[in-house]
Amino acid sequence: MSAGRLILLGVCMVTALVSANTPAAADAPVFPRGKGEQCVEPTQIMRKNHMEFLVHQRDDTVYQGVRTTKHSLKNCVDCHVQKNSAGQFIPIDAPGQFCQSCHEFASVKLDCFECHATMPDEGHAKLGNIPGNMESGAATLTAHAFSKKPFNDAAQ
Amino acid sequence: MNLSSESKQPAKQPDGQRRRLLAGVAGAVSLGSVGGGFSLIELALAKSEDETISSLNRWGLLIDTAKCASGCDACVKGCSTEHNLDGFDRPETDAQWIRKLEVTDRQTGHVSSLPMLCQHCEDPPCVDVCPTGASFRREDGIVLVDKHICIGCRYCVMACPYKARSFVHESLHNQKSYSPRGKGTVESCTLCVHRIDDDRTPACVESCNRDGNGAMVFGDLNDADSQIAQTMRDTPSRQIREDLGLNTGVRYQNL
Repeated sequence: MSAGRLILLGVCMVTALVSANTPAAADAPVFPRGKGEQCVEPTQIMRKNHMEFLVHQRDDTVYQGVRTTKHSLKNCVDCHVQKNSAGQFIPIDAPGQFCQSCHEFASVKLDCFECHATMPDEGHAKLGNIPGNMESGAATLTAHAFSKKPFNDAAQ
Repeated sequence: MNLSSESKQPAKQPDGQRRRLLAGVAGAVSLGSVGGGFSLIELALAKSEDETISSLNRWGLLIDTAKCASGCDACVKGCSTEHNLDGFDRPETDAQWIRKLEVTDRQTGHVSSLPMLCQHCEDPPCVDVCPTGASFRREDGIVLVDKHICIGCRYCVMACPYKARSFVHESLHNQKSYSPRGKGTVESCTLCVHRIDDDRTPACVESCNRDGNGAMVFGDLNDADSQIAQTMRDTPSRQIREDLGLNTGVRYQNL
């Protein structure tokens, strides 16, 4: 095992110990719970390894056409996305939301959502696969495009 | 490879619609028309979501320019809606995965209307020139960009003889969950790979059939029993810029 890996392992173990033994620090991120009883993997494993699961799934999907949802980013979003008081989805990378709050705390730039959807598809418009709904979907999209309203407004 | 050799390949895996049909009647059908070495039960199974793709398939489109009407852009609208290609009302730089062209025969003056999109070549020039390996051809013939490793150099945009690729110049916010798109990467028609993995037909074909003139057929070029392979065997079709020898997955009739 290389020195780099040993150091990484050490850091992971210390992080795990700290996170397991200390109650939430005063400045620890506060974020909403996801749906359901528990995540697709135990919480401690997800905290440390979610990025590994995502990268693995990403390559399987892009190159091999594997479309399982267990470790997909879409599944993360579907489960952890929140709605505001008006019933609209809040982008998962908005301040205080599930993904953003932790990454901000850990000073990690979250760039998944420069390309990936930040909310389930029905959050934008009901389109596409529903027969006969194409026109209304396009109209909704056009209306959104012309309103020039950033989606981040929904977070307020 | 020419068309006849392609369409004469043995039946390997039916297209989506046929798979579903077969799934229902698999037990009752004889193996006679399928040929030796393959079990109809295996053929009948649609790709499950955890199954990997296979080079036994080669997905393609056949476009009948005689049916494709000038002024009809149902396929373009269908694509834009499916992938949220809203654009910024700046036609020169907005993404364009499929566009309508009018081509004129200089000798006769005959005008044909056709949709132009990524031709999903067997030997794609975009893959040849990509310095990072982001441009790639899936085993089932679909040419894609892995945007995770695309650096936005746009060599592929230059290399594509069909001008099929676009570059995303500006930050986007309303992507579909199945169609990630982002600033600084190159993109093009994915043949609606998310739909194909789910045994459905691409959005442009669906729109053309519903709102247009039914000029597009989608299917498996390797499956001799598919509608697309049968039509290509029985009637002439051609590749655009066939002189380049790219063996495109998108073919045109009556052109």
